[in-house]
Amino acid sequence: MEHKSDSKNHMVINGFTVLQTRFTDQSKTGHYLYVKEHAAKDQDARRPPERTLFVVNIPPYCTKESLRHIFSRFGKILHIHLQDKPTKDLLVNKSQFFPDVQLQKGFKVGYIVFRKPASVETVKQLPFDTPLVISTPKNPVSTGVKKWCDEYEKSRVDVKQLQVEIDTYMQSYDKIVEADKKKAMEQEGVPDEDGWVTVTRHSKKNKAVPRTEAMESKLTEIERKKKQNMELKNFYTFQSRETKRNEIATLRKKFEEDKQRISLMKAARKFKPY
Amino acid sequence: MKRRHESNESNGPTDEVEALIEDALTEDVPEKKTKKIDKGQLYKPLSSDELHQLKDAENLFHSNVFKLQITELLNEVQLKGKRISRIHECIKDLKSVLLHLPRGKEHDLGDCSWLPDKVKLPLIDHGRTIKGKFKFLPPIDVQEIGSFSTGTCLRPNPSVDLQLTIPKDFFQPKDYMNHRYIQKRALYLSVIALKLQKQESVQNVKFSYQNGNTLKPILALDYKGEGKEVTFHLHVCPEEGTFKYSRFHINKNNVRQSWFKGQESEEVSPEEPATPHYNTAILQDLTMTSNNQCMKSALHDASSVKEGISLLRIWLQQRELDVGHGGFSGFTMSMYVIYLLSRRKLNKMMSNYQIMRNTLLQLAKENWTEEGPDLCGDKSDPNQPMTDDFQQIFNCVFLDLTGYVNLCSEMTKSTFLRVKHEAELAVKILEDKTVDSFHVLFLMPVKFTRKFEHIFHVTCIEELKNTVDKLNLHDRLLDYGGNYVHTVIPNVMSLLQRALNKRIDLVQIKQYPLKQWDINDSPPSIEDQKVTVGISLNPEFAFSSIDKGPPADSPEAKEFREFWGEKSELRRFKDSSITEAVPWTTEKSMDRRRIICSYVVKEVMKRWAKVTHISYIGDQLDQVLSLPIQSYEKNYVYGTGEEQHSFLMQSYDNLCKVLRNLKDMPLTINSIQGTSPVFRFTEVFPALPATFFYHARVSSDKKDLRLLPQSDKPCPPYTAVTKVICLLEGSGHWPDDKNAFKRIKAALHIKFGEILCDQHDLPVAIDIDHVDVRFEDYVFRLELQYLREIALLKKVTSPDGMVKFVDNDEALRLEQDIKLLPILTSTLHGIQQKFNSFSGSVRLVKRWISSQLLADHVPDIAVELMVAYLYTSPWAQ
Repeated sequence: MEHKSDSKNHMVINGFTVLQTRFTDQSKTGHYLYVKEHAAKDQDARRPPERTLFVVNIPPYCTKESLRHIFSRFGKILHIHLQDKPTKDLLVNKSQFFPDVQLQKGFKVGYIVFRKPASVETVKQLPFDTPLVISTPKNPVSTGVKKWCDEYEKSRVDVKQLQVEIDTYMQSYDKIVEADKKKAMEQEGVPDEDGWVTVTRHSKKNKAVPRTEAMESKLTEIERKKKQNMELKNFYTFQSRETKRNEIATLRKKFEEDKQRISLMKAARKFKPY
Repeated sequence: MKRRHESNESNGPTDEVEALIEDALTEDVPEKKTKKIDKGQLYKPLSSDELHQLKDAENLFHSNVFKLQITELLNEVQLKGKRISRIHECIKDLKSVLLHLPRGKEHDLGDCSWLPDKVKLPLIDHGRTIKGKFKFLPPIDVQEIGSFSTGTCLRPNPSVDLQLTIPKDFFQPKDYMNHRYIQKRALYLSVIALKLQKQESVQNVKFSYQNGNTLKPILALDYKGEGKEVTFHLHVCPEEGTFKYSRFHINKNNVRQSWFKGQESEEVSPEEPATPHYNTAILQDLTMTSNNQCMKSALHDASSVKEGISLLRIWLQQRELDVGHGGFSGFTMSMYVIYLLSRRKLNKMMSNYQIMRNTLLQLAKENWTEEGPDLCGDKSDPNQPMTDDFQQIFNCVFLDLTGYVNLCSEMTKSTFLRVKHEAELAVKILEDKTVDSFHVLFLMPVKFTRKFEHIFHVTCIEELKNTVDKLNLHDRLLDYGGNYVHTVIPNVMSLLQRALNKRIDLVQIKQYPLKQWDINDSPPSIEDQKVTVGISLNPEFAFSSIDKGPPADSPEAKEFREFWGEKSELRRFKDSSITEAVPWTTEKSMDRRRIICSYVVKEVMKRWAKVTHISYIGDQLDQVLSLPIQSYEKNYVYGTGEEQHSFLMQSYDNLCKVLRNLKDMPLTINSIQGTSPVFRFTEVFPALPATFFYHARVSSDKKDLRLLPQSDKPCPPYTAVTKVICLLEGSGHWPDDKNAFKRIKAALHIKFGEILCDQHDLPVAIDIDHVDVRFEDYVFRLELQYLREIALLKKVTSPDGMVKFVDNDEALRLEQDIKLLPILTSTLHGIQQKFNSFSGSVRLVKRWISSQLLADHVPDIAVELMVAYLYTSPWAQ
């Protein structure tokens, strides 16, 4: 492991700058944060590499708000994203009530997007021995009963807002569906360049059967049965002899298997009545 | 192709095949777990042996595996050849010792002071004088009898029964009278015990009773020859022709009342009571030789019959039926098989499985308490007692070869009914192909304490003396030689049967294994006996709070009144009949009604048996399910929670009515089904009606009425929510996209909550995926669901346009919640309706699991299913 500590007192491990945290200023111990500049092959407008700080090992009690509070000292923050794991694409919840991404309880990783690249550099140069305080009297992190009370209160849904969100979503959804339908109707009966016509459920003449896996396997089964019925069984002498031989073999096999089962049971002392 | 499932083996157990299988089992035990079966072996031509084996693979056995299992089991319990020859050597040694014992001096029979301290007479001292002379003579013959002689003896603790024949000269003509025979027999055994104890190779010389009969001691000892020691039981019997059988006719008296009461006068009153049990006890000795001879000759060339008997004995032993006084002993079973052979219900060509099965079938059909089997083919003897006489005198009847002896004279009716019940169960198990019948029949012990729901002990045995007086059983006491426990038990059992009547399926007295005691100790006193009775309840009637008797004007009414005394009163019932009735309790709660049987037992034991000290085991665990709640309503009884389940269910039913009659719903509700454990009667502590009076900030909106806790105030009381799934009707307007689907559902919830609030003025709290509603003080969590969502969540479209349905966590969870759980809930609800102890059992198990801190690891529903399994397959135990 690369372990570097230069004159400015900041510690770097594997390219990550190590920052100490304390829950309050009275705390004696705390978790470490590991930060470095976000680097990705693909350009992502929401995570510009030079301005984004990648933070690992964010403890569960540390919220977005407290991160914002800690790091805003070093420059203006545009966004903070918290995730369970680092991902190629940023996971963002578009909706307040219907989350696409559910965060698990536990340690997280975060992307902090500053307005200026200089802020990232500042954070990377922070000295190891001055810990960052998460919960200050000004911006306390709620704990214990108070935290639960807050969580319970937060879990209440504002019905009006919810209704508004649903209405807007459904309007746009209806538009998309309508557009799809229109497109399908337009293409109805029009062959593509190879001359194939796509049949949809909007077709007037031939209602298409939905193309599902179950339907497919049903069709192949019918085909197989048809084929089987064509075959002749026990027609030639060799066939009936073969059948008899197989019958005996199955009997023997069953017998052998039974014997093996019993000997296994015997090994497990299954026959001691007392 | 026919599967080889039902296959089996030949009619008689052809030794060849047996050996073949045995070889396969012992030698070919595979090193690896499963050996690959050689393809070439499977297709090789059939040998004649194999052809035989495969051809006979018909329905002789239950299944091939069952047959192999039986073979293994028999291997496990049967004595091996080497051990048998060792035992034979021991018998030979012991025989020569016994036959060459020296004659003794003549002593007075009543005076035992000449016996050294090393041995005490193995009879309970009753202080009556016994006339006659005693002079020890060595036995004229020593023979092995019983299970060892027929080869049906079971490991691991085989005991060899030896019969010592006492010469005729030893007895005097009138020895059958007044316990003289009994005393002589006991003295004879004491002398033998004394002499054998001096032998170096004899150890652990102890006395015991033959079948628990306190008049008939036997001698048990370990003989150490070469190798392992052998346990012997020595029985003594008089030489053939010592007494006439007819002297012991069941209607004759052989114990005089005057002697029994200790009066000196020898007068014979004209109305001496018959002493059938005393007579039978002596007759059993007299007929021992001939009955054993009959058994030996019937079994000596029928190995499959012997194996069948061994299987039956294992079956009996696992059910603890063959031990103690009045048990269904292995000897009885062997004789019964011989009886069936003689009646051609069985034949020697049958396989061991068929012997066992057919015997059980017959046993399940017969009722020895009304018409018992009769081994005696020769009815020409004019002195022979009538069969009807036997039926009148004894509880159960099974006549032996001579026609004089009832082989189950001590068995109570209830014991036989238990055996019959077990046989019926066994036949059912054998017919049920889904059960591992081998394991259930032969390997699983059925303990008394697990068989019976309720159990009680008579804690003060002396009280049973009062029973003799109360029921006027003095004649019987004379017959039993003063053993008042054995005297009263049949009567007590029939009293219990009569009192509990329909409430029970079975009532049985526990047969404790026989005691053995050192020869220098006195025999255990009568007070040392234990009386334990098990009661198996009939769920249909066991909990009714009133016993309805005959109509007031009928002749039976008087009898009923007499039986119940002051408890009985005239009552008018809803169907306008006026009958005698016994009310047991006025309380309605299940926990009180569950122990009504204990009231009945205590009452009848007190009234008719004068027994007041009873420790009754039945409701000891109820307190674990009870909640020490402060009653906010007057007369509110918590009990064990069954009622609270029902109260909630009533509110739920009312809620259902409300839901079905809602107007203006965008989609109608097709079905409503609660899925919380409370709907399966399996909530450990069901939700109680919620009452709100704590400090709390209540949001002002009526459509979101919730208590918000504040950290500086006491927390509002916890109100458990009860989940109810409402399935909506199908409609073409449901979207095909899962995200849109969720939003539509949320919109429906909002609408639903508003409708509930507006139309019925119910407080609601609306959430994205449910609406909480407070209805009749309970909080229900209503979820609107639509079954197609499951398919929608599973749906995956492949790039080429093919639609697939792939399981994923979310879809499976939803399927479980809205499709499977409702089905399961109604099924388990049904089980509770059928077995009303289901609820209690599940909740007890849940409490146990969580007190082991395992509740997080075992899902509740798994616990419920496990318990339900036990209820639906009663033999799983």
